[in-house]
Amino acid sequence: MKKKALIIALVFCAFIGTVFGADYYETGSQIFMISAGVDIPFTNTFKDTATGKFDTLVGIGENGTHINVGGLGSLDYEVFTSSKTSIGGEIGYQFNYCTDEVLFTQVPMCFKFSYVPVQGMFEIPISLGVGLSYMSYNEKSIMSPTAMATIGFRFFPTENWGFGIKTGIKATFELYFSNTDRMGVGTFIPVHFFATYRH
Amino acid sequence: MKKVFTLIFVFMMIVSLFVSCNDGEEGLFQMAANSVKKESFKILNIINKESDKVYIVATDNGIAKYNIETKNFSDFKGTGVMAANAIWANNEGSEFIYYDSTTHSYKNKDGDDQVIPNLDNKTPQPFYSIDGKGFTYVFKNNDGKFYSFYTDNSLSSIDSLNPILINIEDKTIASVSIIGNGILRVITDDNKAYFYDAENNTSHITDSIVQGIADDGLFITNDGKIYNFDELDVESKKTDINTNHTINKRPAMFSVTDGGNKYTYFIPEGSSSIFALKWDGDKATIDTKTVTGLQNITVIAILEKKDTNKLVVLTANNGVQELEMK
Repeated sequence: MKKKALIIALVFCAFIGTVFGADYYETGSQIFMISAGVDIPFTNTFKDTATGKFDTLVGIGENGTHINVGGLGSLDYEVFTSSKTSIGGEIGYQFNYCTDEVLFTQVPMCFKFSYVPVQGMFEIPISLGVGLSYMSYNEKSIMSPTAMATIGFRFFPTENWGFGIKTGIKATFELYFSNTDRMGVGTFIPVHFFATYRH
Repeated sequence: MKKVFTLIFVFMMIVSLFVSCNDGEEGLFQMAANSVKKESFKILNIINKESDKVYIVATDNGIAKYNIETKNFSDFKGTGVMAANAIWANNEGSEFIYYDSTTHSYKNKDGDDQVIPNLDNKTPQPFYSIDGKGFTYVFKNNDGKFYSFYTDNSLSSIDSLNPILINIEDKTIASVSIIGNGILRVITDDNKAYFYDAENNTSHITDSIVQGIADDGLFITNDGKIYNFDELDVESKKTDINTNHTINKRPAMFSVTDGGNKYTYFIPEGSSSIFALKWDGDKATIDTKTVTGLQNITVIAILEKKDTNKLVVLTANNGVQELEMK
Protein backbone atom coordinates (compact mmCIF):
# COMPACT_ATOMS: atom_id res chain seq x y z
CA MET A 1 0.00 0.00 0.00
CA LYS A 2 2.83 2.33 0.99
CA LYS A 3 4.65 1.45 -2.21
CA LYS A 4 1.62 2.38 -4.35
CA ALA A 5 1.20 5.67 -2.53
CA LEU A 6 4.88 6.45 -3.06
CA ILE A 7 4.60 5.77 -6.82
CA ILE A 8 1.49 7.96 -7.11
CA ALA A 9 3.23 10.74 -5.21
CA LEU A 10 6.30 10.56 -7.46
CA VAL A 11 4.20 10.64 -10.61
CA PHE A 12 2.19 13.55 -9.24
CA CYS A 13 5.38 15.46 -8.38
CA ALA A 14 6.78 14.82 -11.84
CA PHE A 15 3.51 16.02 -13.38
CA ILE A 16 3.45 19.17 -11.25
CA GLY A 17 7.03 19.74 -12.31
CA THR A 18 6.11 19.61 -15.97
CA VAL A 19 3.22 22.05 -15.50
CA PHE A 20 5.14 24.64 -13.61
CA GLY A 21 8.64 23.88 -14.83
CA ALA A 22 10.52 25.57 -17.64
CA ASP A 23 9.49 24.83 -21.23
CA TYR A 24 11.25 21.86 -22.75
CA TYR A 25 11.04 22.99 -26.36
CA GLU A 26 12.55 25.96 -28.14
CA THR A 27 12.12 27.32 -31.64
CA GLY A 28 13.43 24.73 -34.08
CA SER A 29 12.80 21.71 -31.84
CA GLN A 30 11.34 18.83 -33.76
CA ILE A 31 9.00 16.02 -32.88
CA PHE A 32 8.09 12.88 -34.82
CA MET A 33 5.18 10.54 -34.12
CA ILE A 34 4.07 7.22 -35.50
CA SER A 35 0.61 6.16 -34.42
CA ALA A 36 -1.95 3.43 -34.82
CA GLY A 37 -5.40 2.95 -33.40
CA VAL A 38 -9.08 2.77 -34.03
CA ASP A 39 -11.48 5.22 -35.57
CA ILE A 40 -15.06 5.29 -34.42
CA PRO A 41 -17.67 6.58 -36.88
CA PHE A 42 -19.66 9.33 -35.25
CA THR A 43 -21.97 10.93 -37.83
CA ASN A 44 -22.79 10.51 -41.51
CA THR A 45 -24.61 13.44 -43.08
CA PHE A 46 -25.86 13.00 -46.63
CA LYS A 47 -28.58 14.34 -48.88
CA ASP A 48 -31.66 12.18 -49.04
CA THR A 49 -32.59 12.28 -52.71
CA ALA A 50 -36.23 11.43 -52.04
CA THR A 51 -36.87 14.33 -49.67
CA GLY A 52 -34.15 16.66 -50.94
CA LYS A 53 -33.09 17.28 -47.34
CA PHE A 54 -29.91 16.47 -45.49
CA ASP A 55 -30.16 13.60 -43.07
CA THR A 56 -27.68 12.71 -40.34
CA LEU A 57 -27.11 9.20 -39.09
CA VAL A 58 -25.34 8.87 -35.74
CA GLY A 59 -23.44 5.95 -34.26
CA ILE A 60 -21.69 2.78 -35.21
CA GLY A 61 -22.73 0.23 -37.82
CA GLU A 62 -26.03 -0.92 -39.26
CA ASN A 63 -28.20 1.01 -36.79
CA GLY A 64 -26.16 4.17 -37.07
CA THR A 65 -23.94 5.62 -39.78
CA HIS A 66 -23.79 2.25 -41.62
CA ILE A 67 -20.02 2.48 -41.09
CA ASN A 68 -18.27 0.14 -38.67
CA VAL A 69 -15.38 0.80 -36.30
CA GLY A 70 -12.15 0.73 -38.29
CA GLY A 71 -8.46 1.25 -37.92
CA LEU A 72 -5.97 3.89 -38.81
CA GLY A 73 -2.29 4.63 -38.78
CA SER A 74 -0.43 7.88 -39.32
CA LEU A 75 2.94 9.59 -39.46
CA ASP A 76 3.33 13.05 -38.00
CA TYR A 77 6.22 15.51 -38.12
CA GLU A 78 6.22 18.93 -36.45
CA VAL A 79 8.70 21.75 -35.91
CA PHE A 80 8.34 24.19 -33.02
CA THR A 81 7.91 27.81 -33.99
CA SER A 82 8.02 28.90 -30.34
CA SER A 83 8.46 27.13 -27.04
CA LYS A 84 4.80 26.11 -26.99
CA THR A 85 3.59 25.98 -30.59
CA SER A 86 4.55 23.85 -33.52
CA ILE A 87 3.51 23.38 -37.14
CA GLY A 88 3.89 20.36 -39.32
CA GLY A 89 2.06 17.74 -41.23
CA GLU A 90 0.37 14.40 -40.84
CA ILE A 91 -0.36 11.70 -43.36
CA GLY A 92 -2.43 8.68 -42.50
CA TYR A 93 -4.45 5.74 -43.72
CA GLN A 94 -7.90 5.02 -42.35
CA PHE A 95 -10.13 2.09 -43.15
CA ASN A 96 -13.67 1.16 -42.16
CA TYR A 97 -15.99 -1.55 -43.36
CA CYS A 98 -19.52 -0.41 -44.14
CA THR A 99 -22.66 -2.46 -43.53
CA ASP A 100 -22.34 -4.05 -46.97
CA GLU A 101 -18.84 -5.27 -45.98
CA VAL A 102 -17.23 -3.03 -48.58
CA LEU A 103 -14.12 -1.14 -47.48
CA PHE A 104 -14.28 2.65 -47.04
CA THR A 105 -10.77 4.07 -47.01
CA GLN A 106 -9.33 7.52 -46.45
CA VAL A 107 -5.83 8.86 -46.84
CA PRO A 108 -5.84 12.17 -44.95
CA MET A 109 -2.97 14.61 -45.55
CA CYS A 110 -3.09 17.54 -43.15
CA PHE A 111 -1.21 20.65 -42.18
CA LYS A 112 -1.10 20.79 -38.41
CA PHE A 113 -0.82 23.41 -35.77
CA SER A 114 -0.15 22.25 -32.20
CA TYR A 115 -0.08 23.93 -28.87
CA VAL A 116 1.70 22.18 -26.00
CA PRO A 117 0.78 23.96 -22.76
CA VAL A 118 2.13 21.19 -20.54
CA GLN A 119 5.55 19.86 -21.47
CA GLY A 120 8.49 17.96 -20.14
CA MET A 121 8.17 14.36 -18.97
CA PHE A 122 4.38 14.54 -19.35
CA GLU A 123 2.88 16.54 -22.17
CA ILE A 124 -0.59 17.53 -23.34
CA PRO A 125 -0.52 18.49 -27.02
CA ILE A 126 -3.62 20.12 -28.52
CA SER A 127 -3.69 20.06 -32.32
CA LEU A 128 -5.75 21.42 -35.17
CA GLY A 129 -5.31 20.16 -38.70
CA VAL A 130 -6.71 20.97 -42.13
CA GLY A 131 -5.98 19.27 -45.41
CA LEU A 132 -7.26 16.90 -48.01
CA SER A 133 -8.38 13.33 -47.80
CA TYR A 134 -8.35 10.84 -50.65
CA MET A 135 -11.43 8.69 -50.09
CA SER A 136 -12.43 5.45 -51.81
CA TYR A 137 -15.55 3.33 -51.51
CA ASN A 138 -17.41 1.02 -53.84
CA GLU A 139 -14.95 1.55 -56.73
CA LYS A 140 -15.36 5.36 -56.51
CA SER A 141 -12.64 7.74 -55.36
CA ILE A 142 -12.54 11.45 -54.63
CA MET A 143 -10.35 14.05 -52.98
CA SER A 144 -12.12 16.02 -50.25
CA PRO A 145 -11.24 18.63 -47.65
CA THR A 146 -10.76 17.35 -44.15
CA ALA A 147 -10.26 18.91 -40.71
CA MET A 148 -9.37 17.51 -37.34
CA ALA A 149 -8.99 18.56 -33.74
CA THR A 150 -7.19 16.34 -31.24
CA ILE A 151 -5.95 16.35 -27.69
CA GLY A 152 -3.32 13.94 -26.44
CA PHE A 153 -1.33 12.84 -23.48
CA ARG A 154 2.26 11.73 -23.90
CA PHE A 155 4.90 10.47 -21.52
CA PHE A 156 8.64 10.58 -22.06
CA PRO A 157 10.42 7.98 -19.90
CA THR A 158 13.72 8.97 -21.59
CA GLU A 159 15.01 12.30 -22.76
CA ASN A 160 13.93 11.78 -26.38
CA TRP A 161 11.61 8.82 -26.64
CA GLY A 162 8.04 8.72 -25.49
CA PHE A 163 4.61 7.26 -26.06
CA GLY A 164 1.07 8.36 -25.58
CA ILE A 165 -2.55 8.43 -26.61
CA LYS A 166 -4.61 11.00 -28.44
CA THR A 167 -8.22 11.44 -29.44
CA GLY A 168 -10.50 14.09 -30.89
CA ILE A 169 -12.72 14.50 -33.88
CA LYS A 170 -12.06 14.32 -37.58
CA ALA A 171 -14.45 15.54 -40.27
CA THR A 172 -14.31 14.92 -43.99
CA PHE A 173 -16.38 17.18 -46.23
CA GLU A 174 -17.46 15.53 -49.46
CA LEU A 175 -17.96 18.55 -51.70
CA TYR A 176 -19.03 18.84 -55.32
CA PHE A 177 -19.43 21.93 -57.45
CA SER A 178 -21.50 20.07 -60.03
CA ASN A 179 -23.92 17.92 -58.05
CA THR A 180 -24.97 19.05 -54.59
CA ASP A 181 -27.22 15.99 -54.23
CA ARG A 182 -24.13 13.90 -53.58
CA MET A 183 -22.58 16.08 -50.89
CA GLY A 184 -21.92 14.64 -47.48
CA VAL A 185 -19.97 15.01 -44.28
CA GLY A 186 -18.54 12.17 -42.25
CA THR A 187 -17.16 12.60 -38.76
CA PHE A 188 -15.04 10.09 -36.91
CA ILE A 189 -13.56 9.88 -33.44
CA PRO A 190 -9.99 8.60 -33.68
CA VAL A 191 -8.27 6.98 -30.73
CA HIS A 192 -4.54 6.61 -31.43
CA PHE A 193 -1.67 5.15 -29.50
CA PHE A 194 1.65 6.52 -30.60
CA ALA A 195 5.39 6.37 -30.18
CA THR A 196 7.24 9.66 -30.41
CA TYR A 197 10.75 11.01 -30.72
CA ARG A 198 11.78 14.58 -29.98
CA HIS A 199 14.94 16.65 -30.08
CA MET B 1 -0.51 38.08 -40.76
CA LYS B 2 -0.11 38.53 -44.50
CA LYS B 3 1.68 35.21 -44.60
CA VAL B 4 -1.24 33.47 -42.89
CA PHE B 5 -3.75 34.89 -45.38
CA THR B 6 -1.52 33.86 -48.27
CA LEU B 7 -1.32 30.33 -46.87
CA ILE B 8 -5.11 30.17 -46.41
CA PHE B 9 -5.61 31.45 -49.95
CA VAL B 10 -3.19 28.88 -51.40
CA PHE B 11 -4.88 26.12 -49.41
CA MET B 12 -8.34 27.17 -50.62
CA MET B 13 -7.09 27.20 -54.18
CA ILE B 14 -5.68 23.68 -53.83
CA VAL B 15 -8.93 22.43 -52.26
CA SER B 16 -11.01 24.07 -55.01
CA LEU B 17 -8.81 22.51 -57.65
CA PHE B 18 -9.29 19.03 -56.25
CA VAL B 19 -13.01 19.50 -55.54
CA SER B 20 -13.57 20.66 -59.12
CA CYS B 21 -12.16 17.30 -60.27
CA ASN B 22 -14.92 15.44 -58.40
CA ASP B 23 -17.52 14.81 -61.06
CA GLY B 24 -20.48 14.57 -58.72
CA GLU B 25 -21.30 10.97 -59.46
CA GLU B 26 -19.68 9.57 -56.35
CA GLY B 27 -21.57 10.44 -53.15
CA LEU B 28 -19.47 8.16 -50.97
CA PHE B 29 -21.12 9.02 -47.66
CA GLN B 30 -24.54 8.76 -49.31
CA MET B 31 -23.65 5.31 -50.65
CA ALA B 32 -22.31 4.27 -47.25
CA ALA B 33 -25.53 5.45 -45.57
CA ASN B 34 -27.51 3.31 -47.99
CA SER B 35 -25.31 0.24 -47.64
CA VAL B 36 -27.10 -2.83 -46.39
CA LYS B 37 -25.98 -6.14 -44.98
CA LYS B 38 -24.76 -8.62 -47.55
CA GLU B 39 -25.72 -12.24 -47.51
CA SER B 40 -23.59 -14.87 -49.15
CA PHE B 41 -26.46 -16.07 -51.30
CA LYS B 42 -29.23 -14.63 -53.40
CA ILE B 43 -32.87 -15.16 -52.54
CA LEU B 44 -34.93 -15.93 -55.59
CA ASN B 45 -38.41 -16.64 -54.44
CA ILE B 46 -40.83 -17.74 -51.78
CA ILE B 47 -42.00 -21.21 -52.76
CA ASN B 48 -44.03 -22.15 -49.73
CA LYS B 49 -44.50 -21.36 -46.07
CA GLU B 50 -44.57 -23.39 -42.92
CA SER B 51 -46.50 -20.81 -40.93
CA ASP B 52 -47.05 -17.07 -41.11
CA LYS B 53 -43.58 -16.62 -39.66
CA VAL B 54 -41.56 -19.28 -41.50
CA TYR B 55 -41.13 -19.10 -45.26
CA ILE B 56 -39.60 -21.67 -47.58
CA VAL B 57 -37.41 -19.75 -50.00
CA ALA B 58 -35.39 -20.64 -53.09
CA THR B 59 -31.87 -19.28 -53.01
CA ASP B 60 -28.88 -19.75 -55.25
CA ASN B 61 -27.52 -22.11 -52.60
CA GLY B 62 -30.60 -24.32 -52.51
CA ILE B 63 -33.87 -24.35 -50.61
CA ALA B 64 -33.92 -22.78 -47.15
CA LYS B 65 -36.29 -21.83 -44.38
CA TYR B 66 -36.42 -18.27 -43.17
CA ASN B 67 -37.87 -17.48 -39.79
CA ILE B 68 -39.02 -13.87 -39.37
CA GLU B 69 -38.94 -13.99 -35.58
CA THR B 70 -35.46 -15.46 -35.14
CA LYS B 71 -34.23 -13.76 -38.33
CA ASN B 72 -32.44 -16.96 -39.30
CA PHE B 73 -32.04 -19.07 -42.38
CA SER B 74 -31.87 -22.80 -41.68
CA ASP B 75 -32.16 -26.26 -43.20
CA PHE B 76 -30.62 -25.65 -46.58
CA LYS B 77 -31.49 -28.48 -48.95
CA GLY B 78 -30.16 -29.32 -52.34
CA THR B 79 -27.10 -27.11 -52.45
CA GLY B 80 -26.17 -26.85 -56.11
CA VAL B 81 -29.75 -27.33 -57.26
CA MET B 82 -30.85 -24.70 -59.77
CA ALA B 83 -33.06 -23.06 -57.18
CA ALA B 84 -33.98 -20.38 -59.72
CA ASN B 85 -36.22 -22.98 -61.29
CA ALA B 86 -37.64 -24.35 -58.05
CA ILE B 87 -41.37 -24.40 -58.47
CA TRP B 88 -42.69 -26.29 -55.49
CA ALA B 89 -41.67 -27.34 -51.99
CA ASN B 90 -43.67 -28.91 -49.23
CA ASN B 91 -44.38 -26.74 -46.23
CA GLU B 92 -41.35 -28.06 -44.37
CA GLY B 93 -39.01 -27.46 -47.29
CA SER B 94 -37.83 -31.07 -47.06
CA GLU B 95 -39.25 -32.10 -50.46
CA PHE B 96 -39.11 -29.95 -53.56
CA ILE B 97 -39.40 -30.00 -57.32
CA TYR B 98 -37.32 -28.00 -59.74
CA TYR B 99 -37.03 -27.66 -63.48
CA ASP B 100 -33.70 -28.67 -64.99
CA SER B 101 -33.30 -26.49 -68.07
CA THR B 102 -30.35 -28.50 -69.40
CA THR B 103 -32.32 -31.75 -69.63
CA HIS B 104 -35.75 -30.05 -69.93
CA SER B 105 -37.17 -32.18 -67.19
CA TYR B 106 -38.62 -31.85 -63.71
CA LYS B 107 -36.54 -33.31 -60.92
CA ASN B 108 -36.96 -33.97 -57.23
CA LYS B 109 -34.55 -33.09 -54.44
CA ASP B 110 -32.39 -36.16 -55.21
CA GLY B 111 -32.03 -35.11 -58.85
CA ASP B 112 -34.29 -37.93 -60.08
CA ASP B 113 -36.62 -37.21 -63.00
CA GLN B 114 -40.24 -36.63 -62.02
CA VAL B 115 -43.18 -37.17 -64.32
CA ILE B 116 -45.80 -34.50 -63.55
CA PRO B 117 -48.68 -34.95 -66.01
CA ASN B 118 -50.03 -31.40 -65.56
CA LEU B 119 -46.63 -29.92 -66.41
CA ASP B 120 -45.73 -32.21 -69.28
CA ASN B 121 -43.96 -30.22 -72.03
CA LYS B 122 -44.41 -27.01 -70.05
CA THR B 123 -41.46 -24.82 -69.08
CA PRO B 124 -41.86 -22.60 -66.02
CA GLN B 125 -41.26 -18.88 -66.37
CA PRO B 126 -39.66 -17.11 -63.42
CA PHE B 127 -42.42 -16.74 -60.89
CA TYR B 128 -42.66 -14.99 -57.58
CA SER B 129 -44.91 -14.66 -54.66
CA ILE B 130 -45.42 -10.99 -53.88
CA ASP B 131 -46.08 -11.50 -50.20
CA GLY B 132 -45.69 -15.19 -49.48
CA LYS B 133 -49.46 -15.54 -49.27
CA GLY B 134 -50.54 -16.06 -52.87
CA PHE B 135 -48.55 -18.00 -55.48
CA THR B 136 -48.82 -17.22 -59.18
CA TYR B 137 -47.26 -19.42 -61.88
CA VAL B 138 -46.81 -19.00 -65.63
CA PHE B 139 -45.68 -21.75 -68.00
CA LYS B 140 -44.98 -21.89 -71.72
CA ASN B 141 -45.35 -25.06 -73.71
CA ASN B 142 -43.42 -26.30 -76.73
CA ASP B 143 -45.94 -24.67 -79.11
CA GLY B 144 -45.39 -21.22 -77.57
CA LYS B 145 -48.70 -21.19 -75.72
CA PHE B 146 -48.87 -19.70 -72.21
CA TYR B 147 -50.50 -21.25 -69.17
CA SER B 148 -51.13 -19.81 -65.72
CA PHE B 149 -52.08 -20.98 -62.29
CA TYR B 150 -52.90 -19.10 -59.13
CA THR B 151 -53.42 -20.36 -55.63
CA ASP B 152 -54.09 -18.22 -52.57
CA ASN B 153 -52.67 -20.94 -50.39
CA SER B 154 -49.58 -23.09 -50.37
CA LEU B 155 -49.86 -26.21 -52.50
CA SER B 156 -49.82 -29.44 -50.54
CA SER B 157 -48.48 -31.39 -53.52
CA ILE B 158 -47.05 -30.69 -56.95
CA ASP B 159 -50.00 -32.54 -58.51
CA SER B 160 -52.27 -29.70 -57.35
CA LEU B 161 -50.44 -27.35 -59.71
CA ASN B 162 -52.72 -27.47 -62.72
CA PRO B 163 -52.02 -24.65 -65.21
CA ILE B 164 -54.78 -23.39 -67.48
CA LEU B 165 -54.32 -22.02 -71.01
CA ILE B 166 -54.29 -18.21 -71.21
CA ASN B 167 -56.72 -17.30 -73.92
CA ILE B 168 -57.55 -13.75 -75.03
CA GLU B 169 -59.96 -13.47 -77.94
CA ASP B 170 -57.96 -16.08 -79.86
CA LYS B 171 -55.02 -13.66 -80.12
CA THR B 172 -51.42 -14.81 -80.23
CA ILE B 173 -49.74 -14.01 -76.95
CA ALA B 174 -46.23 -12.56 -77.11
CA SER B 175 -45.34 -12.30 -73.42
CA VAL B 176 -46.77 -12.78 -69.96
CA SER B 177 -45.54 -11.35 -66.68
CA ILE B 178 -46.82 -11.59 -63.16
CA ILE B 179 -47.76 -8.19 -61.71
CA GLY B 180 -49.81 -9.16 -58.68
CA ASN B 181 -51.31 -12.08 -56.82
CA GLY B 182 -53.04 -13.95 -59.64
CA ILE B 183 -52.90 -10.92 -61.94
CA LEU B 184 -50.86 -11.06 -65.12
CA ARG B 185 -49.86 -8.54 -67.72
CA VAL B 186 -50.29 -10.06 -71.15
CA ILE B 187 -48.93 -8.48 -74.31
CA THR B 188 -50.29 -9.83 -77.57
CA ASP B 189 -48.45 -9.89 -80.88
CA ASP B 190 -50.43 -6.83 -82.07
CA ASN B 191 -48.84 -4.88 -79.14
CA LYS B 192 -51.99 -4.63 -77.05
CA ALA B 193 -51.66 -4.83 -73.26
CA TYR B 194 -54.11 -6.74 -71.10
CA PHE B 195 -54.80 -7.46 -67.47
CA TYR B 196 -55.37 -11.11 -67.03
CA ASP B 197 -57.01 -12.56 -63.95
CA ALA B 198 -55.42 -15.99 -63.57
CA GLU B 199 -57.91 -17.01 -60.90
CA ASN B 200 -61.04 -16.37 -62.96
CA ASN B 201 -59.50 -16.54 -66.44
CA THR B 202 -60.81 -13.16 -67.47
CA SER B 203 -58.99 -10.34 -69.27
CA HIS B 204 -59.31 -6.62 -69.83
CA ILE B 205 -57.46 -4.41 -72.27
CA THR B 206 -55.57 -1.46 -70.74
CA ASP B 207 -54.29 1.82 -72.14
CA SER B 208 -51.17 1.87 -70.02
CA ILE B 209 -48.72 -0.82 -69.11
CA VAL B 210 -49.60 -1.94 -65.61
CA GLN B 211 -46.49 -2.62 -63.56
CA GLY B 212 -47.97 -3.85 -60.32
CA ILE B 213 -51.22 -4.39 -58.48
CA ALA B 214 -51.89 -4.76 -54.78
CA ASP B 215 -54.42 -7.02 -53.11
CA ASP B 216 -56.80 -4.14 -52.46
CA GLY B 217 -56.99 -3.34 -56.17
CA LEU B 218 -54.78 -0.28 -56.43
CA PHE B 219 -52.39 -0.55 -59.31
CA ILE B 220 -49.59 1.51 -60.78
CA THR B 221 -48.80 2.05 -64.42
CA ASN B 222 -45.51 2.71 -66.15
CA ASP B 223 -46.44 6.38 -66.63
CA GLY B 224 -46.66 6.85 -62.86
CA LYS B 225 -50.45 6.80 -62.47
CA ILE B 226 -52.31 5.11 -59.68
CA TYR B 227 -55.67 3.55 -60.43
CA ASN B 228 -58.28 1.61 -58.55
CA PHE B 229 -59.03 -1.79 -59.95
CA ASP B 230 -62.45 -3.22 -59.36
CA GLU B 231 -63.44 -6.44 -61.05
CA LEU B 232 -61.56 -5.33 -64.16
CA ASP B 233 -63.90 -2.37 -64.62
CA VAL B 234 -61.00 0.01 -64.86
CA GLU B 235 -62.51 2.90 -66.72
CA SER B 236 -65.40 3.62 -64.40
CA LYS B 237 -63.30 3.39 -61.27
CA LYS B 238 -60.08 5.02 -62.22
CA THR B 239 -58.72 7.85 -60.13
CA ASP B 240 -55.31 8.89 -61.16
CA ILE B 241 -52.65 10.48 -59.06
CA ASN B 242 -49.41 11.40 -60.68
CA THR B 243 -46.51 10.23 -58.53
CA ASN B 244 -44.05 12.13 -60.76
CA HIS B 245 -42.18 8.86 -61.09
CA THR B 246 -42.03 6.74 -64.18
CA ILE B 247 -42.11 3.15 -63.08
CA ASN B 248 -40.15 1.15 -65.60
CA LYS B 249 -39.56 -1.87 -63.48
CA ARG B 250 -41.65 -4.14 -61.35
CA PRO B 251 -42.63 -2.63 -58.00
CA ALA B 252 -43.08 -4.69 -54.86
CA MET B 253 -46.56 -4.04 -53.49
CA PHE B 254 -48.50 -4.93 -50.40
CA SER B 255 -51.47 -3.76 -48.38
CA VAL B 256 -51.91 -3.34 -44.64
CA THR B 257 -54.58 -2.03 -42.33
CA ASP B 258 -53.25 0.55 -39.94
CA GLY B 259 -55.38 2.51 -37.47
CA GLY B 260 -58.58 1.50 -39.24
CA ASN B 261 -57.28 2.66 -42.63
CA LYS B 262 -56.17 0.40 -45.42
CA TYR B 263 -52.91 1.39 -47.06
CA THR B 264 -51.24 0.08 -50.15
CA TYR B 265 -47.49 0.44 -50.32
CA PHE B 266 -45.32 -0.02 -53.32
CA ILE B 267 -41.58 0.11 -53.83
CA PRO B 268 -40.45 0.63 -57.41
CA GLU B 269 -37.29 -1.33 -58.12
CA GLY B 270 -34.15 0.75 -57.54
CA SER B 271 -36.06 3.54 -55.82
CA SER B 272 -35.08 5.23 -52.60
CA SER B 273 -38.70 5.89 -51.78
CA ILE B 274 -41.69 3.89 -50.76
CA PHE B 275 -45.14 5.15 -51.66
CA ALA B 276 -48.07 4.75 -49.30
CA LEU B 277 -51.53 5.07 -50.81
CA LYS B 278 -54.88 5.29 -49.11
CA TRP B 279 -58.08 4.71 -50.98
CA ASP B 280 -61.27 6.14 -49.49
CA GLY B 281 -63.63 4.82 -52.11
CA ASP B 282 -63.62 7.91 -54.29
CA LYS B 283 -60.06 9.04 -54.41
CA ALA B 284 -56.58 8.04 -53.34
CA THR B 285 -54.01 10.04 -51.43
CA ILE B 286 -50.32 9.40 -51.69
CA ASP B 287 -47.62 9.74 -49.08
CA THR B 288 -43.93 9.34 -49.82
CA LYS B 289 -41.67 7.69 -47.28
CA THR B 290 -37.92 7.44 -47.37
CA VAL B 291 -36.25 4.19 -46.55
CA THR B 292 -32.53 4.13 -45.91
CA GLY B 293 -30.89 1.26 -47.74
CA LEU B 294 -33.57 0.84 -50.37
CA GLN B 295 -31.50 2.16 -53.26
CA ASN B 296 -29.05 -0.69 -53.20
CA ILE B 297 -31.45 -3.59 -53.03
CA THR B 298 -34.05 -5.28 -55.17
CA VAL B 299 -37.15 -6.14 -53.17
CA ILE B 300 -38.62 -9.52 -54.04
CA ALA B 301 -41.36 -9.60 -51.46
CA ILE B 302 -42.54 -7.83 -48.35
CA LEU B 303 -42.92 -10.33 -45.56
CA GLU B 304 -44.17 -8.18 -42.77
CA LYS B 305 -44.81 -4.67 -41.60
CA LYS B 306 -43.65 -4.93 -38.01
CA ASP B 307 -44.94 -1.69 -36.63
CA THR B 308 -45.73 1.69 -38.03
CA ASN B 309 -42.22 2.23 -39.32
CA LYS B 310 -40.51 -1.07 -40.03
CA LEU B 311 -40.74 -3.32 -43.06
CA VAL B 312 -39.30 -6.80 -43.30
CA VAL B 313 -38.39 -7.32 -46.95
CA LEU B 314 -36.94 -10.24 -48.87
CA THR B 315 -34.29 -8.98 -51.25
CA ALA B 316 -32.67 -10.42 -54.34
CA ASN B 317 -29.11 -9.78 -53.29
CA ASN B 318 -28.98 -8.87 -49.62
CA GLY B 319 -30.95 -11.49 -47.75
CA VAL B 320 -33.77 -10.31 -45.53
CA GLN B 321 -33.63 -6.69 -44.49
CA GLU B 322 -35.50 -4.81 -41.82
CA LEU B 323 -35.91 -1.32 -43.22
CA GLU B 324 -37.09 1.74 -41.41
CA MET B 325 -39.53 4.08 -43.15
CA LYS B 326 -39.25 7.77 -42.34
